[in-house]
Parts: sequence; structure tokens; C-alpha cells
Amino acid sequence: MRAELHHPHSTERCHFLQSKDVGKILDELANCVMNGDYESVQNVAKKALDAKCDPVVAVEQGLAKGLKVVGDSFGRGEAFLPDLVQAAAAMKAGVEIIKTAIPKGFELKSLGSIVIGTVEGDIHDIGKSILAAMFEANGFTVHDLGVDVSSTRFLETTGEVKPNIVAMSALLTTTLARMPEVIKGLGKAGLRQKVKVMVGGAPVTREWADEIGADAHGTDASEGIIKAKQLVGAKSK
Amino acid sequence: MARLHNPIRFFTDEELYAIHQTSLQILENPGIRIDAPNGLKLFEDAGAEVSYKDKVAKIPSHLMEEVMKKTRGETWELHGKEHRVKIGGEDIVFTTYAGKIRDTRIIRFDGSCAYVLDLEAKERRIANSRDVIDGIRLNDALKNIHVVSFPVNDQTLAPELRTVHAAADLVKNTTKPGGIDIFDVNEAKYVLRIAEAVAGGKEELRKKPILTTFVELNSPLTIDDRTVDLIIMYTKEYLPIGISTMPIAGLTGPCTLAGDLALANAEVWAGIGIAKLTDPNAPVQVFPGPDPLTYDMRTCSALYSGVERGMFYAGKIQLYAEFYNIASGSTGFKADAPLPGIQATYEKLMSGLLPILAGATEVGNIGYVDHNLTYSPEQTVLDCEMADMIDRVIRGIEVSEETLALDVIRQVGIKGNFLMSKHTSKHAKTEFWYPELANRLYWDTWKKQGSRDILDAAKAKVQEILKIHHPKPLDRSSEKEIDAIVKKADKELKKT
Repeated sequence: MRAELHHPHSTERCHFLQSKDVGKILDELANCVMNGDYESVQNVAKKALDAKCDPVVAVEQGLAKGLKVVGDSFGRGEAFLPDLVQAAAAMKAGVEIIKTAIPKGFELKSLGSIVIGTVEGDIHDIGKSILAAMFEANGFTVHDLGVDVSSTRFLETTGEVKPNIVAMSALLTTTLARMPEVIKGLGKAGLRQKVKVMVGGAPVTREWADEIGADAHGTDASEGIIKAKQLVGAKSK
Repeated sequence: MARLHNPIRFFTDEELYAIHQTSLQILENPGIRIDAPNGLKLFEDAGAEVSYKDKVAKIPSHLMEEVMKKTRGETWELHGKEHRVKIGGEDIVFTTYAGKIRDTRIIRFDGSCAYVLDLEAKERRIANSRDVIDGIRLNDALKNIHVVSFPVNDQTLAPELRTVHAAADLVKNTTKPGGIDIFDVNEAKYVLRIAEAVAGGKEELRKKPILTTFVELNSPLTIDDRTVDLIIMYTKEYLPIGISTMPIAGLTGPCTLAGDLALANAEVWAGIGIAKLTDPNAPVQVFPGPDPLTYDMRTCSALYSGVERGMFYAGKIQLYAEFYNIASGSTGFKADAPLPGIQATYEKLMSGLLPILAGATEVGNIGYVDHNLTYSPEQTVLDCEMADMIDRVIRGIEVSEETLALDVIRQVGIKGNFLMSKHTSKHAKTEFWYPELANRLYWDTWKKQGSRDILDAAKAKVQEILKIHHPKPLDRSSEKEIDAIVKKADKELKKT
């Protein structure tokens, strides 16, 4: 991911005087993520801040670098899912600390925001949660509504947080039909043009996604990330 | 009669005890979350430590063991006939019983898939109402199928109406008992009325529960409000309800098989607890009971037929038969393979054979490929052939004066042949199993006869059955009554 600090109202950059130890600490941050060490990553992140490491550098050349190694290895079938989600958790935990060093008014640039949930009548959580964790690790802001999310709640939240993407999950063949309801609701509320809609879950196919007028469909979490990046116009990797 | 004398055992007595103890300890701490105050109250009144704020019941071991004792020795036979056998009494201490391989077992067909496989095109398509009815008709005709459910969900119907429509389709198109997934008490009310219309009233239905259902708990350690209400409703109606749970090892359960089984066992007992604390005489059915899945951590797919799942089935059946003295069934004949073929066959055979060798009372659900997402009519008849073959294995090798055939061997003598012997003509039809679909021709003959693949034979059989088989219709008045129930459900359940 590209980590950039930006100020909503100016083009000003902020500068950090980094100490010489920073290179070693960045490697440590990357290693923490690679090992999925979501427990000690926060101490290392604090060390990075003590050494006056630029938060953008800490994220980009430390945490995100580690995540890319794990992500690529997962893509080759060498790393397994727990390695990947634990790396993502370490990334998230690290970013939490790094964020505290960001001067007021600045923020870590997000790739976009995503409202995600499992549709009404369906309480299957794990696939949706894996994807939500990976969205966050990839630099998206995520609003996870949980499971059994009614159309109304999807619509209300979309109206409130104005996300770039609404992502819906279903595992039951009986609950698939909740997806077009939400899409129709977005249309009625005049929100459809303002958001992209993604759908996923074991019984969801490309044909189904096309039929109900979704913008994208991922067969697994990795594809979901690629599709989400395409939807917000960000480059993959 | 089954002549395999010992079921396969994955666990020693000590290991069974360790699994049981772990399950009890899980229910004591952290306990189980029950998203319904009425469910929590049942456990509180029985002596559990309940937090209504956290919605958690911490269930002491002695309370859970009481529930177990009340459940011991119960077996349920479907086929519309209630059959309760209580072995032993309340004073039973926890010891192990010998498990046994069943002479016969129920083979189930159910799935509620979204897709139907078009074998020719190697494509799956979204299922419609025609697919539902054809699937039920096909299974009504197949002799190896004993319990029929609907193969696919009609994807053109609103979700809240599907269950009731499916129940009506079932009773109209098969005379076999049916199984049905129900997720909501409101739907269940209509399903029960349909079942009553067929059975001839409430009392008759209790005696002949023609539609069984099962509910799923939510791993780890959660029972949602709808499930609590369904368990209580079925308990009060005295209708059997199957309580199952499907933790995925490594995701919603521990990654190790023993830990996953202990967790699933704890969850199922908490679910049975809701039934038994509502009414100690309530019938519960341990189908499928603990039903853990594994996960391919490389490709991120939940596996319906990882080889460990067959081991789970067998281990669980042993645990229930030997330790809790409850005969139980499991799922089985599963395939993750996208298409019928070599992979699907070995996955199905392994996941079907293991539970049967462990003594399953029922095994299901046949007819599916593609992680249980896609129904294949052709696979259904192939699965029946596998089930039939396993039946032959279970019949075993009979040893008697007749089968040892000393007289025949003497009669034929050295260098003779047995083909002319009456002993051969007498036993040739029953001693060997003859497949209906498998190809056993020699190469040249096979070529000459058109080089047919087994899938061609499966397809021809499906087409033939669908052409000629028409299930015995319901009487006009029941059918009218059912149509009226469905119409009412359409109006009252339909969400706008």
C-alpha cells in the first residue's frame, strides 16, 4: 500500500528528524508483521516513534513491506491463511500506534471506506471478518456492521458514513436474495450512483453479481481486495 | 444381517472420557452464549450461573451430566415411526457401551443447494422450482434413499417463502419422510401445519413425524434466539429436532481435531440441554450432532469432505454410541470436487464409508458436488450405487456349513469346476454385489458397445426415472388444505 500523509485543507507536508537507528527498526516492524506478531509489534512501533521515524515511512517501509512478503507468499501457496490474517492483525496493531504520531489535522491517507456486513437472516461471520481484516490491512477504512444486517441498516449506514464501497456477504442460499434488496434500496434512496457495491460468499457467482447489478464480486478474500482497489481506482500492489 | 463384528474405533475409553471432560469444562468456563432470555432462564432455573447482560450461561458439570443421563439410551428412527428405546436407567454411571455396526441405515438426501449441475455443459445454473420437484421425484424413486429433502432452493422465490413452499413440494412429491431446514419459528408454524395435513392431525403427526428438521448452533459457543425458539417449539410439540453444529477447525473451532470435537460436543449438549430442560421427555435426535468441518488454509475453502471429516464422523459416532449410549448418524457422501468424477468419488466413498463402519444410524446427504453448493442428479444415482456397494460390505462374509461348502468342494473335486454346481447357481445372485451403473466389460466389448462412460449410464438412468416415475399423489382434500396453507404463508410471511 501507499501510505501518504495528507491534510484535507492544505498541501503542507510535515517533516520528521529521523535517528540513525530507524533502518533497523523498520526491519523489526516488517519482521513483526511477517511473523504475525500482533502482540509485540506495538512496542516496536513505539520504539520507531521514539526514534522520530516518519509515520509514513514506518508504515510503508516497515509494516506494509512485511505484509507484502506474507501476501505474496500466500499467493504462491506457501503461507497459509492464519499466517496472512495474523500478519494483517499485526499491521493493524502497528498502525494504531504509528497514527498517534501524526500531527493534528493530518491523517494517514485511506484508500477509501467500506461498509461491510453479512446480510439479514445470515449469521455467518468468519469469511466476512477475514475480508474486513484484509481490507484494513490494505489501507481501507472499514465499517463492519457484523452479521444479520438488515437492508435498512445497510442503507442508514451508507447515508451516514458515505462509503466508497458497500460490501455484502451471504453463505446461505436462502439469504442471497437479500443482496438485490439492498441494491434496490440504495437506488430508491438516491445513493446507488455514489457507492460501488461488492458481493461475496460461497454461493455467490459472477452471474449472480451481474444479475443483481453489483459492481464487483470476489470468489475469495484476495480477489476481493483486488476488486475493491479497482473500484476505488487504486493500483493493486 | 451385519456380519462386521466391530465398529472402527478412533478412541480408547480414556480418550473418550478426556473429550467428555473437556466438553464439560468448556460449558463451565467460558460457558455458552444464548441470545434469548428464555433460553438463559432454563439454565438459570436448573442451577447454572447466568449473566443476562453478557447472555452467557456457565453450566456446572453436574447439571450437564443430568441432561446427558436423561438423554441416554434414546434412539430415534425415522420412517415416520417414533421408536424410543431406553437402554438402562437413570442410575447409569458413565461407562462405555459396545458400539455396533447397524444392519441397515438410513441414507438421506438433502441439501438446499443454490445450483444445479448441467453435466454436458460442465456449468452450474441457478435452480428453479422445476429442479426442486424433479429432484424430489428422482429421490422418491431411488431405492437406496430413505429420507428425502429438497435438493435445491427455488432461487426465484423470496427467501422467507422458500421453506414453506419446499415443505409443500416435498409432501406432494414423495411418500418417503422428509427433512427440512428451518431457520425461523414463523416458517416452522406453517411447515408443521403442512405436516399435520398429511399425517391427519397433531396427534397423528407426533406418532408419525413425517418432516424432520434440524437446527444449527453457531460456533464457537453461541446459540442464537431463533434457534432457541425453534428447539423449544419442537420440544413442546414432541417432534424430534436434530441439533447440529459445524465449527470449522482453525477458524470457528480449534485447529486440532480432538479440540474441535470437544467444542462441538459441548455446543450440541448445550442445545440438547435447552430441549431437555424444557421437557425431560422431549425427543432429540443427534443428527448430525457435532459436525465439524476442516479448512484448506492455502485456498481458503471450507471443506465438506476433507478426509479428516470422515474421521470426525466416525469418532463422533463412537463417542455418542459408546460413551453417551446414544445411537447417532452423521453427514457423509460429501464432495468438494466441482464435478462428478474421480475426485468426487474418492471423497464421497471415504466420507460415506467411515461413519457407516463406525455404526452410523443414518448417513447423508447424497447428490452433491462443489462444497455442497451444487446438486447433480447424475451424482445422486452414482452415490446410491456407492451406498449399495457399502451395504454389501456390511453384510460381511457369512461363515456356515453351507458357505464353507466342504461338500461342494469334495463333489467337484480336484481340477473340476464349480460352474455346473447347484451351489453356484444358488449363491451367485446374492453372494456378489452387482452394480447398476459401473462398467465391467472387457475392453473390446466395451468399445463395441459404444465406449460408454459411467456418467452416460448415470444420465440415462436419471432421464428414465424422470420420464416414468410419478410419485403417489396425496388425496385431494390434503392437497387442497396444503395449498391453502401455502397461500396463507405467502400472504403473511412475505416481506415487502
